[in-house]
Amino acid sequence: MQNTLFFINYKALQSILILIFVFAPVNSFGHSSNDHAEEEVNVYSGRKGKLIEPMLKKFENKTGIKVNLITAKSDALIKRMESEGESSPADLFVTVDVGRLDRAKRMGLLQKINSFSIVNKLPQNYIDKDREWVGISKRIRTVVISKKMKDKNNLKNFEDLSKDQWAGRICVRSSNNIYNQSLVASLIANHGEKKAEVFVKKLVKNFARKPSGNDRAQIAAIAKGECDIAIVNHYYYILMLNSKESEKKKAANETEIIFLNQDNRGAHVNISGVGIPKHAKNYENAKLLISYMLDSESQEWYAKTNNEYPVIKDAKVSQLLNSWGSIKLDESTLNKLGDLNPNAVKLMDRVGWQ
Amino acid sequence: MVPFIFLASSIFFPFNDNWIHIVDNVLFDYFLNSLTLAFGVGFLTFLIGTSTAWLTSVFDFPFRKIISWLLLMPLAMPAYIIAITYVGIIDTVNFLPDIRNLFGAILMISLVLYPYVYILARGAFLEQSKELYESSQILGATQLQIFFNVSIPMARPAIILGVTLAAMEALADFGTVEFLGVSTFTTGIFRTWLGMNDTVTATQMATLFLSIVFIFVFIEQQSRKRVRYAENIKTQSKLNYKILSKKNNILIIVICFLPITFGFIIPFMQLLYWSIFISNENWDSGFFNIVSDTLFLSFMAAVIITFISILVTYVKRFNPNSITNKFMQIITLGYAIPGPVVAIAVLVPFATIDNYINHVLISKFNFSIGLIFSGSFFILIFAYCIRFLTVSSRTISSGLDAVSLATDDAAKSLGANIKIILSRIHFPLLKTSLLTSFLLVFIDVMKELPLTSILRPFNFNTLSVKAFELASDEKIADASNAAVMIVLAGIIPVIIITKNILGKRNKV
Repeated sequence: MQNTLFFINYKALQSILILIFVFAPVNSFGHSSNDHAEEEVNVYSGRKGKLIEPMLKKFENKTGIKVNLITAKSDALIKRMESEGESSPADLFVTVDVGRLDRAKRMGLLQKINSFSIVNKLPQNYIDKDREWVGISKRIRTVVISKKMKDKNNLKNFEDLSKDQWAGRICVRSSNNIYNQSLVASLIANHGEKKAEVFVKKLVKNFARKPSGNDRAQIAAIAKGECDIAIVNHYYYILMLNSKESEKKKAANETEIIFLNQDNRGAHVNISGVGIPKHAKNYENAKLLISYMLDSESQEWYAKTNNEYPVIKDAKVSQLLNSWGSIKLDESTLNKLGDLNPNAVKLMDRVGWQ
Repeated sequence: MVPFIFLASSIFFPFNDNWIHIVDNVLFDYFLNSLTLAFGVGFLTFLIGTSTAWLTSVFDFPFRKIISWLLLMPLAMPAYIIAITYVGIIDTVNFLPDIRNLFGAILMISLVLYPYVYILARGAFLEQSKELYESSQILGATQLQIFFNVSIPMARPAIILGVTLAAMEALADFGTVEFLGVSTFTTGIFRTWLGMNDTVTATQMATLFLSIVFIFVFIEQQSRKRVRYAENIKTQSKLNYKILSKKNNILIIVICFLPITFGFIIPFMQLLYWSIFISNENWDSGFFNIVSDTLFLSFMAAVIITFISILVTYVKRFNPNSITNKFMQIITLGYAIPGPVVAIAVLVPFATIDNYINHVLISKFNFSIGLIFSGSFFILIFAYCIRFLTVSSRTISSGLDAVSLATDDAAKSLGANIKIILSRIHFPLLKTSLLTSFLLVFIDVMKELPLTSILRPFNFNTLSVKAFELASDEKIADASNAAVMIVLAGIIPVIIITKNILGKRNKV
């Protein structure tokens, strides 16, 4: 028996040693942050690969700076940066939600972006007041309604959705979704928590069905006659209008998009944005990349690939976005959304928004 | 072990307002839904897995061979993909019932997890002896009586293992339940972590959740202890297939084709349709890089995890009361821990070590080597170990348990040393379990999402990550290329399983 144990422990030790020796060197291929021979920039992106890679490739070709990329959920990346601490290789942090940028900032993970050329490109509302993050594109969360709906004139403001008139007629996805959390956070920012809770409670009562599926599924539900109003991000609606699947396209064509709160604070907007991590090793390269992301060429690329609105003024947008005209946006609350996100989640728990 | 201590240490932090909020508002729902999900999936996978396994191992009917490997195909289908696919179908076809509820989640998850039960139960049924079966017949038992009173009890450890694995995986699932709008413990943990930005409460929830799972697993193990399963009459004459009437043949084929159709053919056809006609993604070199990365990673992980499982299993066999063994029992709970929780539990301790090493180096030699473990393949595979060691070690140990200790003693008395026992006796007998373990881990890693996404090195991508990114961006049609590839790559190991394990009887 003694023999056996020795044999096994020896084997175990051996295998662990082999593991470490095999994988530790592999690591240096993973992120070659020690390799000074080559200029590079390491990007942690909450934005999906598909929606950022082509632009990074162009940046590489133009500048010769190698871009290394990891994509994951923004929160996971925040956690990764936090635990990696000083040794973190991240040089640029990209998210698709202003709340996450703000959270990273509050946790002390970002640093000031010292560049006038970057700051001057953007309207004030799309830059953090301490300049720790900047927006790179805009996304509007609004409603898509059935074209057959007769009482649509009664729907002017988001707050109208709490009226009894819409009972059993509203479709929306689960409150686990970050876009819904930001939306409720913006209501809290505008009305205070108490008033927002009364309003959201009534809104939930008006739901046509239990929240499930993604934004496109809500639009499909209108076509199926399950509801009249779907709360969605504008680009998912466009995605569906342009779908190659005839039924999806047909469903989208039975609906129209309307933008709310146009006579007061403006429609709810969120941004995709970037910040430079505190321990960035390639600070200058990160700034170059941000600058590149705010070029009119890159900005038009966003507008074209994902139908998001550019943050710089002179960028061209698609014909469809153009046809929607200029939309008034609720920009002033943008930098409060991150702070209010936990309140929004708990509020939705209390009123039973699943 | 470190990650578990890390998780458990969370209970020493004071409970904050968020904890109270959760207990007041949502904890009961989470608990109830998770419990229903686990039992629902356990029951349904038992029903589908055991019945199809028995039919294909006792009766002979046309297309039996092809059906017996087609039954494994759903294993290659990630659960969230099948859910998205079905919702896509239901959205366009009006008369189908809605699956966006708890029942739908149970159905979707069971459709892709029943092969666990099927593969393990079938292995056990095929091992059952002819004598036993014939004695039962002589004593006047009908086929069904034999099934319920002899076959199932004899195969109990294997079946329970399959059902437990399926239930644990269902508990850890996030993508599917979230998409179908069901709030479970897992979605609650994320909501607390991501939505409320409260890692402490999230880990406390995870710890509570794991304690509950542990109690169930413990009860199951205790109930099994009372019975010894090493079959003494392991006769070498295997059962012959029974031949049935035409009518019964058709019935069996229909029964077996139900899970194949719903778990594989329908969703795969839909994915193929999307991939060929709708997808904007190209099958370019970038895509094939991802394919080779995925295969490489899955292969490495499967080899390493199987190897570690062998060690673990042997420690248990030769030294069942050692502390290592007790620890290992806890670690094999990993299968029920949601991926992102494992990710944090691995990330934080290793990053701390990395930073410590760098501090020492900088203060002593003024030199930094950057991160050693974080962002490496090592940490990724380490995390896979925690998550998938359960599948692997339990598969292997169920194989090893069938080799009675008396065999070892007999060999020893004949002068064989431990090396000879391992290489000449155990290895040949364990080949099946080792292969099963390797292939299950291979497929699991290939489908794995959150760990890979969070812990991977720069510029390293897998099919599963790619598919999920596109799908979560509501471009399911574009995601179909990667999903089809996952399934196709999964078919290869499935065929190997069939040839080596399930085909055994064919030689007789």
